[in-house]
Amino acid sequence: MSRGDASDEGPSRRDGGPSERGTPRTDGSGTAGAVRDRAGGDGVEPLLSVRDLRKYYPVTSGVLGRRTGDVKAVDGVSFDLYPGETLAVVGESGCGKSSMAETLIGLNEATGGEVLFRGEPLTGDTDRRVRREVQMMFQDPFSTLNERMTVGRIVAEPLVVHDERAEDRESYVRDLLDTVGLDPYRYYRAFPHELSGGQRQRVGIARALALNPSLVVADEPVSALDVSIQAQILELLEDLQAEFGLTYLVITHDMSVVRQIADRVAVMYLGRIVELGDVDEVFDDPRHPYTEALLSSIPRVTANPTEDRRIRLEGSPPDPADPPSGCNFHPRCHLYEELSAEERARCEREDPRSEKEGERRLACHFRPER
Amino acid sequence: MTGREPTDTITDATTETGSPRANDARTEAVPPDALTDGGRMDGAGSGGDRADEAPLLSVEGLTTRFYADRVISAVDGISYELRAGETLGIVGESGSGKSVSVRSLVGLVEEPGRIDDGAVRWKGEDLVGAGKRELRSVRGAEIGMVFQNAKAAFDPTYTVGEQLVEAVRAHRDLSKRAAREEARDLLAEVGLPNPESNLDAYPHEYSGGMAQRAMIAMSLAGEPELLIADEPTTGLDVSIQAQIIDLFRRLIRERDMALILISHDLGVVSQVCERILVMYAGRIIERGSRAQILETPRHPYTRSFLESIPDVDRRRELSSIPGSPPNLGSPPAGCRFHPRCPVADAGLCDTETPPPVDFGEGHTATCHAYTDAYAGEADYGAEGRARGWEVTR
Repeated sequence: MSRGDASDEGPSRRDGGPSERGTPRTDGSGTAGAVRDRAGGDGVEPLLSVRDLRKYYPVTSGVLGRRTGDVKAVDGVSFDLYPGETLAVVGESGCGKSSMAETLIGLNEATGGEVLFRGEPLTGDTDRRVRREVQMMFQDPFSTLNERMTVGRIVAEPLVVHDERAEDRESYVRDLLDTVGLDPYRYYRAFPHELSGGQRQRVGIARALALNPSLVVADEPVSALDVSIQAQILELLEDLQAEFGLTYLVITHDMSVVRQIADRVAVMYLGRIVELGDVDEVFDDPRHPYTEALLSSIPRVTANPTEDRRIRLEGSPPDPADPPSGCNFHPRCHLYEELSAEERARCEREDPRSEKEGERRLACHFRPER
Repeated sequence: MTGREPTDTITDATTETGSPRANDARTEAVPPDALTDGGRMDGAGSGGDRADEAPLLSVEGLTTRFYADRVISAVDGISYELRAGETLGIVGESGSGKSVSVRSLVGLVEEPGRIDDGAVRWKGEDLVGAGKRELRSVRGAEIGMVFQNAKAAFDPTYTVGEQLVEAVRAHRDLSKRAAREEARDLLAEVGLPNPESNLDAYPHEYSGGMAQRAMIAMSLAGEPELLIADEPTTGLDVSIQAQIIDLFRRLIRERDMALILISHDLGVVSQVCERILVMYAGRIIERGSRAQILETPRHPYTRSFLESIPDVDRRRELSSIPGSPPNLGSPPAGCRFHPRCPVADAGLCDTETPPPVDFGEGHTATCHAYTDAYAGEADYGAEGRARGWEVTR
């Protein structure tokens, strides 16, 4: 593999370095294949269980700010995340994927539902020792780094907050920088403005790893980067997962990135998961009309573009404050167009929510699961 | 020197790379037959029936620099031509100069930027030296412009209709009523639902996709012969992106407009444009038809770039490009890609600006590896073999 390293140096990992940090994990570093088997639920406990998670934002009107309704940003989301796997949550803007991630890690208070981490509820009161096992990585490395702090200080910040590793903090942080492919001699005392976008994202990754988390929630981790740099960061994320047995929940709008790094994918539309399953199965054979249209919309790199066969999503997603009845996708659904009046009435009336847990989930009245 | 006289192929070719330094280099290094007319963009690959027409737009050695603490050489001597009805895509990553290059075309380079050299001929007339008024009569009229983030391009205090009517009347002598009808027709043409009521809406009431359509309508107000679209789908959802791509295709066909589409997304460019320029660090490093660039890329940067793009249809081994694009305040000597190039030849690539090598039918790449001066193995050596790259000289 030709590894692209931001500092033009190999991402060498020394023994006794960060690979020794923290608690030993039973889940280890599973390969994608092993993870996919596990996702079926062969007795392996999920690391994270999300049950009917809801996050509503009140809609107010008038000078008195009377509550007139809710925006259901997250409207009953359930899934399990297994140790060592990467689950991607994909959808367009406004689908609720970022709200879901923020609610899940406790940045927002949930309106309903629960989040279990290793079987224990994850709430604002959760013990810090548990909470630190879940770390967040953000989209825009340019806005999340404090410009007046050195790289070393930025990466050390979570350690300071948690009063950790006071005795060997600097050498530990230097090891972390090395782990993410940044030469510590060159970058430990550097300031963010001296770094390129890819290097800043590496700093963000080092900071997220500082407390030795089990689960990393990454919100659009490569969206702000050029593709050649994006490939470096995707490769780094995969290497780190293999080395430290990390579990990733990746939030993104980019289906190509999902194909590249995820084991499983959950497709969200208007606050709900409409389809969930193994990424290759879902992408090669999308069952939900929304997934199908989304995949079909992506502008492929091609020498012979064809205009016809693509399925078009007409219009924009509806206002989440006033979602359509029944299946909230039906006004844009190409399958709906082909249905009889009686069948259509069902889409307009009945919510096709799927509560089934397993390999593949689908929320559509007229597309049976295979 | 226009880079277009075939009489002196060497001079012609080195001019094409645009760097003044290019002229003192490697006149012996390049077999003259490899360089026939590297600057032409009118290969048989596309628009063949238009090849005999005079170009609509001719860019010759365009050089734009920014004078900050250091001199930033953002666009370094680029040349290309565009004929009526042609679709040209310019791809490159951040800092490649693709946006500055098209802003330079229409006098939209902001301080402290300056066009230091070169010519931009629009129907034979040089726009670089043109006065503000002259430029304004071309920009927005004969040349329409569409940018990323359409919402920010509208004045939030006026309705979209008021702004469209103003744009229509700026170019055409119409009564207010007739201009409003024209504005409504334009909104309908770009596929906005309920054009009549949308005329009276304010920009903030538009979604991102609607605003982009409205901006495209605005760019059509002067009935342009060339549309320049700079990252027109960036930041839009993929479903809206597909709608905008379809819209561009339809407008080009129905209005017989030429298009220059700038994007970092090769997918978007390949869906719309028949010809592609690849820019890196302020220079055009490869040019050709869509098929030539995508199926037989020649420049190591183009190859690496293609290999780094994730494919939604299959998981694949991505090859990343090491390092970052250069700081254009102090660009690398020689080939600007050499510090990141897996097959660079020390002593050549790091000292001399590569010449454009002609692969026929309008396909050229500026790379030493295809010249006799290159000391590396003919197949790019072990690194090249590992990547499955081959060199055909």
